[in-house]
Amino acid sequence: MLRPEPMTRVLVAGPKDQLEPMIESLYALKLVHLVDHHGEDDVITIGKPLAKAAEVSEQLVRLRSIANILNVAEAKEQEPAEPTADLRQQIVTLEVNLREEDEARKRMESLISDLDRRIESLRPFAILRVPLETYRGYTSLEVLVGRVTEDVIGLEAVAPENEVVAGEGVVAVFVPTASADKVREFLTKFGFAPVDVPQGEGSPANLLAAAESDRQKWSDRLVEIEDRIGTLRAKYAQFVVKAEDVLEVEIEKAEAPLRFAASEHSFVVDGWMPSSRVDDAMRALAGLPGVLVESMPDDESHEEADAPPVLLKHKGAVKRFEFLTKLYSTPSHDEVDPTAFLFLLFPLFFGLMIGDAGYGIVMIILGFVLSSKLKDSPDFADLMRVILYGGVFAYIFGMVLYGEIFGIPFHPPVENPHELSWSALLGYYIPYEPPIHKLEAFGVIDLLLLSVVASVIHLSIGYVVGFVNEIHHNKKHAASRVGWLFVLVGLFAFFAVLGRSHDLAAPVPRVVNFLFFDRPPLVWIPAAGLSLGSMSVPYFSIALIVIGIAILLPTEGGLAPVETISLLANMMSYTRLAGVAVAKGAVALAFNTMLLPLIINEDLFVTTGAVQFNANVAFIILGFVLIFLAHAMVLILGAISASIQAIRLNYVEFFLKFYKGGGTLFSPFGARKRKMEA
Amino acid sequence: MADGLTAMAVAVTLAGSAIATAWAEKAVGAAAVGAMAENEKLFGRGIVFMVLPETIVLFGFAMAFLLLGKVG
Repeated sequence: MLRPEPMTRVLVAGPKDQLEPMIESLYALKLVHLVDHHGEDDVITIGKPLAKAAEVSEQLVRLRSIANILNVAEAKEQEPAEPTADLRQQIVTLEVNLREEDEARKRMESLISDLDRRIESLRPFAILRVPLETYRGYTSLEVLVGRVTEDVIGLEAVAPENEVVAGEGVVAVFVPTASADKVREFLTKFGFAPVDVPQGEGSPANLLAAAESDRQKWSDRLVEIEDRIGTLRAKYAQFVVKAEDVLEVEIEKAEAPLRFAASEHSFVVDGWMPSSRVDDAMRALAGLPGVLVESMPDDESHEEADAPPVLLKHKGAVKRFEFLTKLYSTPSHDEVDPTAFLFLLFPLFFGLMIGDAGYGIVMIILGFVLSSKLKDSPDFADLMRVILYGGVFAYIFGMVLYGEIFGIPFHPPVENPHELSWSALLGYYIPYEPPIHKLEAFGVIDLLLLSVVASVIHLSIGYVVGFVNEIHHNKKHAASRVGWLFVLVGLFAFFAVLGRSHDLAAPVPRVVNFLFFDRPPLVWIPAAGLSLGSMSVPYFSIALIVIGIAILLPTEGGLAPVETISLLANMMSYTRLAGVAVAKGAVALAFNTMLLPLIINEDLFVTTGAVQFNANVAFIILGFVLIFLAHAMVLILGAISASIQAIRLNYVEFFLKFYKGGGTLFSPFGARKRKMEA
Repeated sequence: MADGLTAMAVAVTLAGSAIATAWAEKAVGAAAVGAMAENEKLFGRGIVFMVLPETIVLFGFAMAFLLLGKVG
């Protein structure tokens, strides 16, 4: 679970006449991740595509043009299509039918757009009611026709000789050529925008009517054609999708030799497959005469560029967390796959930050419903499943650790005994005292110290895994992880001594003391220390940090002592667990406090703790609606911030201690992603 | 008097660190979205860089809380 699937390198060699059957077998196997041959050699070059490749790709091009005309773009679930023998014939027939319709459609569309232009140009002249030939054929006259924004007045001052025909927003001015320029300038005052005189003779109104009736005729035709294409689409869409699927598979097979090495008479296929499946592959390929299969398990002796692909092997719930690992980077083949740690730690951190039984339940339900409904987008379904697991921890922490449901605690904080609580609301004292109250200063200190404990556990795992990753590669790097671990424990010892109870007979009633600080082995740390101002740093801490730095200096270089500060910053970073938990609790409480007066009599509640409902039912309903909306918002914002913070602790604080990533995902020949979602 | 000053110190601490975080995240966030527009695969890295400055406000939160403990 912590390592990717071991890989075995396979070489398949054989005579060229076995190339096609071999490709078929490999494709059916879906087990071999091909390593492309780059053909640096003169004798052994890159293979040539199978003979049928050209034909298949031509058919695919035709089919795609058909799909384009039919506008086939969606259709979900499809079973793997069976190759049909007369595929080619069917494509040709369909293409002939469709091409005709498509051309007719294009013709109609272009005619209609021509007519649209003509109608547009005739419209101003129809308003002026002067036959079109009137505008043309003068030698000494200039005709200025155009749209105006206001009526033209005072033209006589510019051109005493003129003839004006005006309609609504349109004007035609007939003036001697000599004064044309002046008139043009004059007309601009009225927003004059010239238009061209359209071709044709006679009454523009009649011409306009004729054009409009033509347009109507052609657009009726267009509708008919589109109907026919629609019928074809309904009939053939499924076929087009399947055929495209079949052809894409054919092409992938036909072009596979481009990834192989080939000599004149033989071929060699190079690839990786999961070691556990090598026998299956051997059996499947053994039937082909003359084909040799050679396999050698990965012995880590390869160059980095030649590294095997990575197949993550998780099952069930852990598999849901793979996307979080991949979001960062695909693990490299020779390092520990951190998905299992994410599976354990992400929901734990998430739950600590949400820490509310009510929100927990809602997240469990929403996560379950959405992850089972949204099969189409696997990543989103995985995310919802992750939220579900987080919700489980939120519920547990909400019930056991914080005692809080929908932002209302079981009991009021000690400092504010009249604040809202479930015990007061229900009129029944809940017989359980949760150990941490988010709204009490005492509880928050407890949470902050618990965050420090979480940081130490989390970071230690990171350093241990880092050590395991490096021990076979670089002993120096592995040793530096040990050094860091010393520094980490040294820093932690300081907090442990600071937070522990001074008198074990009367321990501080904090969860962190009960679980960690007042227990062995932490209680054994000698408290004697060096006084720095008001603080006392235990000699034990100093010793560990000095040992750590002594290990780090030769392994990490002279800057290591400065870097220990960044480790302290890493540890402080975990206080976000406490920060988000308190902030989210406080926001929920704020909404409850603001909106509750709509439902019950607040004064009475605060002074006596008695619950008396508002006399106005409308206010009660409004109150519930608003409270619902407010909590929905807190829930969504809380889920977003808690998941971002939880993943950040893993990505930044945790992964950087050991994880490199940069692997190549195992994608075997034959395993196709459905590209054509038709 | 001392309590009042401490309470103001709490406010200044939290406000200052929150503004610093917002300022830093503004720049990082804009760059991250830009990078993501080029290559969607950078989402994971982007979100990590984006939330890096939140540590600043956490320091502020921790300090503010410790200070708050001194208010009578």
